Amino acid sequence: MKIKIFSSPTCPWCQVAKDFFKDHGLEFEAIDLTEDPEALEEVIEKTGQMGVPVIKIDDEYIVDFDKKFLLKKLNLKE
Amino acid sequence: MIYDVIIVGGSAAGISAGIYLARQRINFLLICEKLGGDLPNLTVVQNYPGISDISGIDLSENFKKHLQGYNSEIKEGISVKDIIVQDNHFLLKSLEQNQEVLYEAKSVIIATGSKPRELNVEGEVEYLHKGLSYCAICDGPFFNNKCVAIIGGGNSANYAAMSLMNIASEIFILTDLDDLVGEKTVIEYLKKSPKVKIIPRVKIGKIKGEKFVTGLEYIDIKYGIDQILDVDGIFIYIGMEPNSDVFDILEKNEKKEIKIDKTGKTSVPGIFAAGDVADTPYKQIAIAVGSGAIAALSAVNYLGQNDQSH
Repeated sequence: MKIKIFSSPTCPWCQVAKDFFKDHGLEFEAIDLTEDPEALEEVIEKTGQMGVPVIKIDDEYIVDFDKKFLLKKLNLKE
Repeated sequence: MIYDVIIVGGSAAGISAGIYLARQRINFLLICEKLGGDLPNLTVVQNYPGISDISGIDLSENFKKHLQGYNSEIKEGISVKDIIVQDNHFLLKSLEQNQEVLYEAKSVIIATGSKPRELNVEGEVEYLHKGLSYCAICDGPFFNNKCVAIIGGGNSANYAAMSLMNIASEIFILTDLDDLVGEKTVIEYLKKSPKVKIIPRVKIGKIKGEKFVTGLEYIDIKYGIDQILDVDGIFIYIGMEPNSDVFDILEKNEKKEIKIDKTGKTSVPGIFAAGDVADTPYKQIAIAVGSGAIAALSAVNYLGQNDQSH
């Protein structure tokens, strides 16, 4: 499983999302959209929106941090 | 299962109430959409006694850990749709995976907080996260070197403008007031910046766009002239409103805040309210925490008077 978290440096929920994956021992690649214009275009094109965090799990883009959804999707416990 | 108390809401007031109930060994459940609520959205908190400087995320984590340390029963991802009084008990109705779920309690503490007020104009829902946002610190970086508008003229709007100062190429602040209000140092800074243009006395008519926001229409209130402003991003900061819509059995004031007395009692005996959803005058974390404690102690008192087992 390949996980990417697209974020901005000041976005609070991006930090919450990163902490979530760290707490569950899941490795991820953090991408700062303010320093990666190509990734920014990718997020806008693939999700059709301009909000962060965006979490990419394999080929699926997930907009926003939804703990309950992620726990279920990744079959994790709190 | 009939709980002694159900707390609805998981931010400062709800967590504070939970800590007080846990220490009294009250059988309670806390249900909320997100434990910590919107506290993480605060860039920094510098007025909470004992902690001189902390991010909203860290304060939220501290609050959560404190409550979770008592092995409390907490259910996240739940929004209450209705509250029903049945004899001396209360039924809280929620919708979970398209199933109606009922939670029953002898007493209820409502601490559902508040949410950003919406403009209620055409295009607002359609362009949310497509150039329109209620959180400049979250979504601001999408507007690097772009032209943005901030709707609102109070402290939160001014701070939003400050947070975009090093990102956007041009910042318009549109307000229905005659001038910006709030902290003088921030207003002076904004007015000195060549990037910032303040457009006072306006009423927003419509958010315009194609795939993403392209601008907005507004009316100059003084002269009654329709205007168009081309911008790439719009941030709305026109205040907050209480999350009180589903609690129609309770008396509310003209701002839709739930009316409480000094002990947190609402108009229905056994139901208490705390934090920003209640009609307490100042919306501050310290006040929410205090009012959560008051509501919890009042609920304990209520249970003692109505149930000899407490």
